[in-house]
Amino acid sequence: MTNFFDNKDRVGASLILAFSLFYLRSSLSIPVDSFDAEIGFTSKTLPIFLGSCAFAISLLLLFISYLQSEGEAISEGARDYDWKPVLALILLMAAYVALFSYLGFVLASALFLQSAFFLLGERRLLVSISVSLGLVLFLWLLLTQVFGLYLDGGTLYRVFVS
Amino acid sequence: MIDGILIGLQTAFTPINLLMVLAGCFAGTFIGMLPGLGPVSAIALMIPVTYGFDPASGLILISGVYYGAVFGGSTSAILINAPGVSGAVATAFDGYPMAQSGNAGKALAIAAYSSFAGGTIGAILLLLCVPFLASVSLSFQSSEYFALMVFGCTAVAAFSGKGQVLKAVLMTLVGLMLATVGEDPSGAQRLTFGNPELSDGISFLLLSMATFALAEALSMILKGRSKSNCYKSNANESKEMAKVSFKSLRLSRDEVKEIAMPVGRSSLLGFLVGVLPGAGATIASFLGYGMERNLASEEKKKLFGKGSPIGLAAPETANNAASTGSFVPLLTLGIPGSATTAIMLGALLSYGVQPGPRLFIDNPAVFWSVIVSMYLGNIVLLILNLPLIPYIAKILQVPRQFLTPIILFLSLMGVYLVSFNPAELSIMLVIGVIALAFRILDYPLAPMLLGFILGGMLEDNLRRALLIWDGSYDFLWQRPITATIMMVTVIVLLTPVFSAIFKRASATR
Repeated sequence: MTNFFDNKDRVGASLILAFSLFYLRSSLSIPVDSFDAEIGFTSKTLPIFLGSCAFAISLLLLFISYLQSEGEAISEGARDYDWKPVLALILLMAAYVALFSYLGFVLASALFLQSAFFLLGERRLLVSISVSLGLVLFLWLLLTQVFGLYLDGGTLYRVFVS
Repeated sequence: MIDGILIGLQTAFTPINLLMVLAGCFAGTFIGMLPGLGPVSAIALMIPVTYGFDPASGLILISGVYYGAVFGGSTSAILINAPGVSGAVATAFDGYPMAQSGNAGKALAIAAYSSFAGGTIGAILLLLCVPFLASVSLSFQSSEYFALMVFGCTAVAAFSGKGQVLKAVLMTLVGLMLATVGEDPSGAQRLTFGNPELSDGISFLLLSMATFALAEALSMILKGRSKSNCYKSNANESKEMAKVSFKSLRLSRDEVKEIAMPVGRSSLLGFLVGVLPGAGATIASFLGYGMERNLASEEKKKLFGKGSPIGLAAPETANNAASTGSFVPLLTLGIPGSATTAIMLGALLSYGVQPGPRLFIDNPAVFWSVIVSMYLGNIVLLILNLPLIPYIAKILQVPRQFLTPIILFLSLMGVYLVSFNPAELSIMLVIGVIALAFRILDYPLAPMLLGFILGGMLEDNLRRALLIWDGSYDFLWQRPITATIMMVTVIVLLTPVFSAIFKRASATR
């Protein structure tokens, strides 16, 4: 019995199979307009058709992946992958998004850039702070002063000002 | 047509639009030069900048970015053997050896002149083809449009490589499924799960930024340890760049004579390949290279791969002519033939412009100015970018630990500055991570974007056709053009299956 993760096609097809099942289930509960029902094409006609096709094709791909003796294993490429910085960057972006409304554009963005530079190996603090702060302030000035856009200062700024 | 060209010239030559061409070409060259970031990512990054511009200016900027990115991709292929885009891989075969032998300037000049010639011939052919095709397709009704959208979706078969057809079709379906989220053509809400952020559907900009710019940047870091990747080889790139000697950017008369015929042939070939939905610049460049190698004399054939000027000129010409050719299906039929034109279609729709046969009647300024600006873009690249390349190429020496976070930041900001809604950033991050997973699993993302863009129009036209035909699907075979397009679609879809069966049969014989 081969390992499930030994084939990229299989893993991808399984993910889409799960998605198409969820999509199909949700499509069945889409409300239908009576006028649309008369022409035989309602809000859920296309979603059900698409979901069924995706379900059938992902099942076919899954079936083929088991028939093929050789397939590219995820582990083959994964060994060479640099997972740590990517996972750290994803978490950093999640934190940036979560803190954006609280810290505001300037502070959140400068902190995000500074942390990302550090994560990717930049240890010259003066250089990285200059780049992160310089870029964010330049953008802030450009957007607010030149283009006249409003950028939220953040809850922290409002609390501080009041 | 003359009136149209004049309208195009008038629009393209306004100071603001000239500035757009310049800015687009420069930005595109910078972004395209970064290995890993191609025209699609470059355009995705620039779309938010164009929001608020009038459609003609926005499209002119994006066209400039497109040509600039193609040019930038060739530059990094020649200078450091790291093609920024897949279409420039064949350029590196002879461009890099030329640069290594101390003729980087000459190699860049050949690439620029060939691109210019390819773009020029492509633009002339486009000028002749588009109005004719557009006038023919004016007789199209909803049923034909529906058939065209289905055909556009099957172009994925050509997008995909060997053994990728099913995966490409599956990803198109995923794109079509994502397009059904939000308000449907009848105004009803569906698949939003009560989430107000989804009531308007998933934004095209968000999806393109997440799947291309964000996932691309993350994948650059992820593959950092592998040999083929560029992220950690930045130090090597700097060393390679330090070795490059630009010398003269001039070509001798003999050199011009040598590449003239290959440039002419590759332009035609490239344009025709570009017009075919799904074929695109990469296939055109390899075909151009292969054709010229086969046609070359035995003596010149030996030079291929070792710094042959013809080996460099042919793929560069074909590549650029194909880029121009890919605009034909977009501008005449409203269906994109490549990932780049798919993203441009999305941009057009977001400006409120519907591409297709009526574009040159309803929006002649947009239609003609895009065609004229394509040509202007080629001139800008030749006159301004080429002499500045030794300076622009310095970007290859900027440490990647700075560039990648900046790309991530600009992607996030690009989406935020359009919606001003931090919740969209969360959706973008989730989609970006899923897109990265599919990249790792080798599932193509361009078909997904294509399906997403065509999804709304496909459903709209099907609904309209059914209304006209009283709910009957007879239009699929009773309308000759619809039936023909559907037949071609079936043939395109079944071709890979039959070719696999044929190959297997001939192998067993």
